[in-house]
Amino acid sequence: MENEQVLLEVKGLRKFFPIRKGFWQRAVGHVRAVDGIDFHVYKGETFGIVGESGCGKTTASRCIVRALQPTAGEIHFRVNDGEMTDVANLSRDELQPLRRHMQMIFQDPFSSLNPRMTLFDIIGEPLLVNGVADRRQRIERVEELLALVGLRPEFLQRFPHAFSGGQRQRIGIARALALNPSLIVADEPVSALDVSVQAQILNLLLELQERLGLTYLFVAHDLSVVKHICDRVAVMYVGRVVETAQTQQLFESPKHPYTEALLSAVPQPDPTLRSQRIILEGEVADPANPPSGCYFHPRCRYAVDLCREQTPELEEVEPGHAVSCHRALELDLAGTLDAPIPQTAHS
Amino acid sequence: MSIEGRPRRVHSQSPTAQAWRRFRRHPLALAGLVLFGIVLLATVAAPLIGRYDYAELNLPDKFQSPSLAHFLGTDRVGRDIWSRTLYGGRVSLAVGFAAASISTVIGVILGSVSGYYRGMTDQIIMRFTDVVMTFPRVVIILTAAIYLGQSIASVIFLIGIFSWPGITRLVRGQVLSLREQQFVLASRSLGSGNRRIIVNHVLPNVVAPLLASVTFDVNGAILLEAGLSFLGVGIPLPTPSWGNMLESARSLDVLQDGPWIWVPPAVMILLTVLSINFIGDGLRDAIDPRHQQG
Repeated sequence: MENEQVLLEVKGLRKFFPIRKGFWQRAVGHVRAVDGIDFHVYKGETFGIVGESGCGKTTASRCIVRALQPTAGEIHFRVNDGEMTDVANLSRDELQPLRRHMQMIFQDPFSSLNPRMTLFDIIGEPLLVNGVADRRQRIERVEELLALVGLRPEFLQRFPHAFSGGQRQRIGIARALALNPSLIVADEPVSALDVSVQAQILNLLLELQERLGLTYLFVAHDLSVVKHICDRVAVMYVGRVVETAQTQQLFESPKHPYTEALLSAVPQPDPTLRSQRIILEGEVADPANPPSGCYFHPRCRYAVDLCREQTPELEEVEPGHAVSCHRALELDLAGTLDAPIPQTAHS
Repeated sequence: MSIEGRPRRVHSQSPTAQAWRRFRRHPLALAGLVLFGIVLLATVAAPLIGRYDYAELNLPDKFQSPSLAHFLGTDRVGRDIWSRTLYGGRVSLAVGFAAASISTVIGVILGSVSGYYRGMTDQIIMRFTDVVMTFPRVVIILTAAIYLGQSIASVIFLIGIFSWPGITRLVRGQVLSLREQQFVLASRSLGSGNRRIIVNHVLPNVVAPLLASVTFDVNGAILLEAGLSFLGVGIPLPTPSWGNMLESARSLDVLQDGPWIWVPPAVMILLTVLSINFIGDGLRDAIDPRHQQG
């Protein structure tokens, strides 16, 4: 974060899915998958979004690349270090020239590659769609990309079925890099892989970030992965951001009870550390019918009356650390002892 | 599985090539293919090996049992059964394939629109499909044939436009699941339009399961044509089809005393339908190895 330039700023992003019933498919309600989230991502950093399944993190990431049309909100994106443009409210045609600057990596290495297309067709598709018509030029670029992600350029005419999960994920990364994007939105890019392969892919992502100056928006549910790769993190719960901070800050001194519970669930590699696992009672709130006040209060062991009545706002408690909890300042919550990034042993 | 980064071959087989390899190893499918090839060849070669004009009356030689002059004998107006069986195959197969093509085109268009756009469009198309499925096909075709007049074209048309619901449902189901695949999302986030997504990502993945189902549709059309012709509303005489050759067996003396007249077309229908069924089974197994039953 040399220059702390904001690359992406999300303001009040909402995505509601209608619940349709009956012959006429009338909307009888809405699932508030993403319910007003704000965050910003600096150029060159890795920004993580974590949360349980169903908290809206994938939906949010898909809205940002406009694979889904957001219901409301603004998504400001800086193109080529120039002005910020609100991509949430552009028409399809206006958006088209901007799409190449933000690309996506998907979770499932199997469903994300069309089984009937060769690697050349898959990785070359972004080029073709964005006007690189010359076949020779595309072949060259695809070979270059294959080499970049650690695959042999000779694989050009092979089909995805001939590759393992990790290799397929590399193919997906090559496709995302085809247009030289500045922002990569990675939706759980390693959660479908074996742990050993996870590490390879994460390292590849870090290496590419350094070489190409990429910015990552990294969606994950695995906190150890987040710790490894992210500079800053936002924690989501039922469509809202409940806490955002520098990764180290968040892991060491979480300010939201939900974050504390999530952290306590991370397995500790050091057996001498006695972890106090906080078991959350009940189910994740239903985003079609969320509870009153703070969405987390039915499961929160620190909840007071205020939490049931009033919805807390996301407020900064220290520089770069924002929390949406009424009791953020009075609670003393436990983080994980072993700090992220370069670690010194604690006892 | 190959080790990361060290695959065995640099060229991999396309999914189509893999399916073809599995198909070749399927004994029944191969038998079906050979049998069907023979039937097809014989009907194509009808002018060469038929020896007689299929429509030529030869009253002095009527109702003769098989002989060297007439391999399969003659019918009640002296037409050569061998020649009529060969030419009849042309008509039956043509009706089968043409009608199946019509229903496939309708089915693919309606099914992919329905599955891709979902919502109201889907509701309307699927309810319409349900209604068409409830039609008693034979009765409606019997009635419609009276208005359209009897001809090969009208038989093809009628069978075609009443046989698409099965294909529509199949395609819709496939498209519904394909459109949620991440590679479709990936393509959309690159800025591909609906046309590109349907043509490049959805339809190529529908073809495989569709192919198997279309072969069964060909069978359905051949049998339906035979049924209609047997009832006397299919292919008009003197043009032979296997169905209208069977029709002569409706009279008792032919049924009892002239088996050479109705056995050949019956056997041909049986062999053709059977071989196409085997091919269809083989295709289904080749395309989706999980289906394989042994």
